[in-house]
Amino acid sequence: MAEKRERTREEMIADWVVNEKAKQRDARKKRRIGDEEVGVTINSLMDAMTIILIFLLMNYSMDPLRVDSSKDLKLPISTTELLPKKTIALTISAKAILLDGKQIVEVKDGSVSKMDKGGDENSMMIQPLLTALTAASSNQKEIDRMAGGKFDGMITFITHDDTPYRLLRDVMYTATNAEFKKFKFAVSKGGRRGYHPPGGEGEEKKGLF
Amino acid sequence: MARSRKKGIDDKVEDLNLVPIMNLVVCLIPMVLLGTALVKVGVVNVNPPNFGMGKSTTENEDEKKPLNLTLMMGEKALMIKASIPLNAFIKPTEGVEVSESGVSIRTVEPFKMASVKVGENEVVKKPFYHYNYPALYSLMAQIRDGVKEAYPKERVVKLAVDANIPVKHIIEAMDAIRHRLEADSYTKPEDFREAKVKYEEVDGKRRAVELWPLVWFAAKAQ
Repeated sequence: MAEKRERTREEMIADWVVNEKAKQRDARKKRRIGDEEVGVTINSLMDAMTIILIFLLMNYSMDPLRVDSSKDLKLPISTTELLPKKTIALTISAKAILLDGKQIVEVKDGSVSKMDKGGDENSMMIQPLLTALTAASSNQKEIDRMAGGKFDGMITFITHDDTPYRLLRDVMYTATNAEFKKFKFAVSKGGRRGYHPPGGEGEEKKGLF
Repeated sequence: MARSRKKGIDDKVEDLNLVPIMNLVVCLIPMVLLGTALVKVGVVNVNPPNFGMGKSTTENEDEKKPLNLTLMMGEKALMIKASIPLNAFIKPTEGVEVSESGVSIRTVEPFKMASVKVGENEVVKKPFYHYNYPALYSLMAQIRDGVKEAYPKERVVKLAVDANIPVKHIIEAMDAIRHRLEADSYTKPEDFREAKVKYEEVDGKRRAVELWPLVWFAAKAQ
């Protein structure tokens, strides 16, 4: 009986030691889990963002003609499928005529001032524009000569849709005097054929895709 | 012997910290998105007016009288003229008057200045001339069929525009007469708008059938 009690006591002590060790092990494990940092896996998101960024940069850099639409410069809508080429671009907005982003002549109510036409309202020549276009064509001729090519005389008009033909004719006349002979009009693609009423029926499709 | 362990050597391989790169990418993407054009830009080819600087460059291989097909865009009507009488092969319809001197297509509704919303709180007045483009296309197709024997290679139309007509209507007119559509005539604007371009096989390639694709502006505004 006494031996049985001693074994039992030893066993009890052994059991107690095992239990205590298990408890300490559990406590250590909990502390380790609590202290460990849980990282966020952003590799997949990084892959997606990098691909989107490369696509957007390619799209941004390959566009030969970029037009920032505003209420003073809204392109006419067209069904054309032709893509723009890299040429000299002349912008005719509701407020000004610009060459390479620089204002050349002010436009008011669809016409330029008599002073810019050498004092003759009926003249088709816009003097400051002729000076600027002549310089631009000379510059382009030099660039083409150095590249081993020939000046093609091409110019793209980025025109506000409400520009009256009267102003457009004067600009075209001035451009032909500056040795430009091939004209392109920048338009907003994706339009539908026919009359585009106020309010947007038949408006162009907008968007990157 | 006890192996000594050099202090400072870290055997654990640390993951690359992608957070700064992600910050950069997340900032760049909105910047590039804002800079990218939201409107697809195309071009329309035109030829400048002949301001008396040289001979006309209208293609005409033959010595015979050129067709001189001219589309005049006025404030109340479109007019089509040529060096030959057009009433020989054009039939008058509603809104279309045919005479020896040419063909006149009245506008669908009178000129108006309409208020158009351009911003959140901004409204501007814009001019609108409602031309009858289905009728214009139908007549130009009849003219093409009528002159194809006498002028098989003629593709040029001269455009004489009134001084006040906005550029958008010039582009609309050019679009209406550039290509042949599935039908030869249209009366309803919605049918004309939805009509598909006719294609043909040329040297194994599919090409849109042209109607009057080359445009020369007239020298003087009307």
